[in-house]
Amino acid sequence: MPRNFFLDFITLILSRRYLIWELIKREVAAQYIGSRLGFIWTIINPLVLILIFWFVFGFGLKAKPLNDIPFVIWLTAGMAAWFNFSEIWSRATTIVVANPHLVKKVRFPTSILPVVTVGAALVSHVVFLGLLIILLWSYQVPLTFWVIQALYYYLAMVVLVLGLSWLTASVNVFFRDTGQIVQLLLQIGFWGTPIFWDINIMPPIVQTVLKINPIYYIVQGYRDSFIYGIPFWQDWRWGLYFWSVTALILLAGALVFRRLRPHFADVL
Amino acid sequence: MGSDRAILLKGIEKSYKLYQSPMSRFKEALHPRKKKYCEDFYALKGIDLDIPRGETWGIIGLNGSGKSTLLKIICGVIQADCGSLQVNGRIAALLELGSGFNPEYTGRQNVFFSGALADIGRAEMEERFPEIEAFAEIGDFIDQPVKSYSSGMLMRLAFAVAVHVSPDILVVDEALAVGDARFQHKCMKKIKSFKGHSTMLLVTHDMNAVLTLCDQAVWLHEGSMVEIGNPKKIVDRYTQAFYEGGPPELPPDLPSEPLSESMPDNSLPEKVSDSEDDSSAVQPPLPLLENDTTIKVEDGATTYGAGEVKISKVAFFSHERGPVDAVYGGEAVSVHIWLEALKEIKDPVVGFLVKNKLGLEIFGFNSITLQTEFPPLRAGDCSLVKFEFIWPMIASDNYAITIAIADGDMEQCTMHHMVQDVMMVEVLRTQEYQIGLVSAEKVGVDIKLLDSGAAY
Repeated sequence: MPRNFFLDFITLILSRRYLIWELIKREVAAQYIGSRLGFIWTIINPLVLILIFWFVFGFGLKAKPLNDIPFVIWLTAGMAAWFNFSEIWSRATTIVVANPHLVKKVRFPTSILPVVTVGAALVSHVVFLGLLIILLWSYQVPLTFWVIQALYYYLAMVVLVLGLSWLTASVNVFFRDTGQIVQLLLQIGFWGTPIFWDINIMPPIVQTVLKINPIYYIVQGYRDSFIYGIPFWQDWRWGLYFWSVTALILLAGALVFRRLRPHFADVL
Repeated sequence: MGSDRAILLKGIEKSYKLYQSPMSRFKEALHPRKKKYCEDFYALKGIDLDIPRGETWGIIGLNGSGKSTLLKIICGVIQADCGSLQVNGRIAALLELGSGFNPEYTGRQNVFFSGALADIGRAEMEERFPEIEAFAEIGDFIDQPVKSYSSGMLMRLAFAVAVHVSPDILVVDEALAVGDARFQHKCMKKIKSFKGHSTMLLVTHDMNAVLTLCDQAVWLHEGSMVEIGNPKKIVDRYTQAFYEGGPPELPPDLPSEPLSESMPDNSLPEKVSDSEDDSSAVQPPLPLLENDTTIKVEDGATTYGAGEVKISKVAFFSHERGPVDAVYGGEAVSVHIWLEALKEIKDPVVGFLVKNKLGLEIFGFNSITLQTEFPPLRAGDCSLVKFEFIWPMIASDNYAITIAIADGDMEQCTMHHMVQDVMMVEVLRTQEYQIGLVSAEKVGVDIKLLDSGAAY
């Protein structure tokens, strides 16, 4: 049963790529509709954020470099992964509810909506990564070919967030509180995941507990790819753990979404 | 798509579950053993339809009879609980006009997006766009956000898009009733151009649309199919049931006339010997105008009503030529209607209606529209009602006359006896050419040369 769901889903994405593309364009444009600077905001927001990091941690707090890597670079690499994840998850949770006309009035494959969110969020993600690379270059941190590995971690994050989004987006149709709960979880996740702080300051037992959070795998993976050049198979046990958890979430998400989807038009 | 069938529905059922709260709906959807948390309200109870390619079908029924639900299921917007659905070809739906539009985007963007929704690529849409733009006639507004459109403009654009995505199946839900007369006419023309090669499904309350457009009519009532068949027949039965306050309990292959005591004869008898319920009134003291062409009314499939007062006879005269069944437009005529009251009728209303072959109502009147005092009838009373009028200038054709007697007023009344198509009247040709259903009278023409084109 779920196998068919995934197979259908993949053929759906391929056959309706034009529709998905159009929806992504709408989604991206919708964020800036009516604003003067429009797309430039996509660059301004992360730029200002990174400038604040640089100022606060570089000048204000004089944060110590971690393994000879300036803190601001280390922070930005982890932040890039986290921001993309949190943007997709929080948006995708409300995406079904936000498009009642598509759900109720026309024949429309709702399961692609989270994919649209992923696509739309890619724009700001690419900008963020571009700023990260500029930062690396300005601090003269050598960029290795391990950067390509970030693609693997990105895809891993997409699979995880798709499962989560199917789950929360469909439940949110019934309980609008879900959106708030997701926001709350993201708040906790932001501080609970070693993004602003180094996991190595914790005792080993706590470190293990912290690694249970699958997002840590992604955040650390981005740092490994952009800064340290560590291959993803070096810590294969945690990789295996991540994929097991992700597969479970994906399965649960698909199952719940499939069960609840026929009711969307009736409840919205 | 080699199939000759456009849509096949088998045993489609849809129930809306009435839940105490969204919580119970949620629990039920996820319950491992499918425990029920609701009460079912059946919107559709086992619908079977088999629509051949290229036909136009109309769906009629009262509000809440499940028409729109059925269309939504066919379009795939909502899912049936059980039953099988097979749709061959691309569907374009006019469920709610402009519903797929995003108000923030321009008309142009929405047109292309609608194309994407219908799985039509950019290049193909690019090709069709000029046609859509021309049909919608919204001018420069095409590049304005849709939110700035008037509802008429929105509707025009939505309609233009839906009919230009070259659907194999066009589904129209009461969309015909909007827009100004000229655009409505244009839509009708467009829809008619689909007839034959696209399959069409219309849901409407406009019986004339059903009569003029559809090959078959489907009558739904409270989620069940009452009858499928020839539009004229179905519309007649439907309007009949409407006056009676509901459809017959049984599928109405039988004459749907629970109150008819006499034999269920389908044909209108020319002249029949008095049956037992006629006998009480066999000698009304009004034989003056009665003659061979007077039609005695027998109860049958074309009559219905509560029957507390009955129409016993009807006659039709030309003032100059006597009893006739063919008239000229402009001729002075009268209709005589004999009534017999079996019980007391407080506010009797007698009506007269002329319909054309398609069942389109051409003209009519009743004692209320004519502002006539009609004294109450006592049980046993027999009356004669005479209507005198000039036959209007309508197209030469055959017309059917329907006579009815009711108790009440225009807002609320009990139909006591309606005799559909009690007689046929042929309207004779007075002009060689006639344009349209009705001719104008006393038309003057004056042609003057204002400026001669010749230079001298």
